[in-house]
Amino acid sequence: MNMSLFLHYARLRMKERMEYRAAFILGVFAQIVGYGATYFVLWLTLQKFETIGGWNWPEIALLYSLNVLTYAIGAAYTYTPMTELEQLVQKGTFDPVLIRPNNPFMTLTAQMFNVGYLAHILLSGGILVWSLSRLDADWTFGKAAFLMISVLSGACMHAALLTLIGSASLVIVRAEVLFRFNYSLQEFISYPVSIFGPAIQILLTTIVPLAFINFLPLALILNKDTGIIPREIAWLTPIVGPVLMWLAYRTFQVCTNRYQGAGG
Amino acid sequence: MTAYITYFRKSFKKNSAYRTTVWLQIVASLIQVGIQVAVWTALIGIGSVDGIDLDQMITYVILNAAMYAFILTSLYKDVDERLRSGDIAIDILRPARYPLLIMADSLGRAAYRMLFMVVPIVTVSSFLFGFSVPASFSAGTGFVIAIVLSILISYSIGYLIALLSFWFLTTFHFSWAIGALTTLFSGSFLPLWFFPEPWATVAKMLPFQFLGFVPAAAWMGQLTGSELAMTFVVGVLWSAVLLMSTQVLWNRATRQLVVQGG
Repeated sequence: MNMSLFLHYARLRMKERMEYRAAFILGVFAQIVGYGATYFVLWLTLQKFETIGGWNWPEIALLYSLNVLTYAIGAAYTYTPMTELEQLVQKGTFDPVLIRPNNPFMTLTAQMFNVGYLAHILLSGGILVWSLSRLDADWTFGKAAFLMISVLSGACMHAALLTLIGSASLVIVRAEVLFRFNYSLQEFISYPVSIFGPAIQILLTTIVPLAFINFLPLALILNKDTGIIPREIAWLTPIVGPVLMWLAYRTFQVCTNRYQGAGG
Repeated sequence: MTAYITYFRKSFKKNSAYRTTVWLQIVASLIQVGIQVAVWTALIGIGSVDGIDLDQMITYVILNAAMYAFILTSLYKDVDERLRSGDIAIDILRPARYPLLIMADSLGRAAYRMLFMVVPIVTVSSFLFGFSVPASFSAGTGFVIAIVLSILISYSIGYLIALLSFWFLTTFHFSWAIGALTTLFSGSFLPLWFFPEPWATVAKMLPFQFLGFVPAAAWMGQLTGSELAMTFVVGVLWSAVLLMSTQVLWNRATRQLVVQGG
């Protein structure tokens, strides 16, 4: 599948959503209010306590925004196809995707590209820019470039996690709970990872490498304490995302090849 | 009455069908408790802030995890689904009051969650992090009253969202809006006693404080005497207003209902 076909699919999808313009705009608004509330609680907390694990309000806002922003970018491509996959399999509508002369993963992500994540991107992007303006990290070209690459890599990590769970639904069918479980895990990186016990810190940099999404790249840029994790490991951020995405993609392919259909 | 009791029992049974979900929910809740304990350890550490120490905050966190069973707000999802599928027509035809059927159904789920989720969550977390029993007999009584108010308020909020979908045919926006208000004003993450003014005053006038803060604060003996009495007055007033609104909307909704598909 080439880029122009992908864009064509995405454009069709956008048109489809814009048929219900009022509902779309209300949806964007509702999501901004929803995430806004979480930001507000964090702000209230830091009004009272000033820092969490040595991170002040603009820094926590940056930490949280980087997670929401990367999630939104990754999820725009993968969330809808991966959560719907279970339904597609049960209804037998996954089969037409497989017989198209295109890569099934690309077809799904293009067909189900979700414009609705605009709300997340507007809010978290806005707060991210605001918090950057409030920080006095002496910015160099290198740091700025590193942050931008971290955004892309983080988006890959989120997409990879969703793809892995989606692939699981091809094998074990009822995977809905796994998506909810993923949300619980996200909670870990709403705060600086250094506040957790050593075992959790290691877990979040190895088996479930969520720390690479926001905590480690920011700890490197802002020169923060990284707990028992060596700070240098943060330099791996640009490759962790793409490697995970590749692994998830391969897993998806293996699971697709094993797919037998679930009745018709 | 027997119809409602049967509904309650059926709901309890229906919920026990999803074993894996229960296990994962327990693990997810324990993770949640663990994360919040770590956050409060970082925030308070040794010593205390405004007379609240870490052990008290841990009890607060565990109590708020336990509230999972008593907050019935999510009942709008069931109604929404039955509205979409058209099954709502059958529900209304039944020789029983639909609002009470939903209540029975939600309570059945609450009872199930209480026994098979809350009990293990509280047991494991108190073993891991420590947990205090009610501050006194009257604190325990206050907790029970607060829980009754939590059930009434969360039920009517959930039911109001469901009723609005009779007109708007979607619950998405309302559920996000209510979710936002709950996140902010329930105090389930940041207790109201740490709220700066004027937010503390605002939160103490809203019904959302019953979805987290009030039961826990009553249990811990942090809300007592006339302050507790005033809070209960606020809660009773809100329950009355919300329940009456559901009644008014319900009467109109049944006349408004158009069942699509079939």
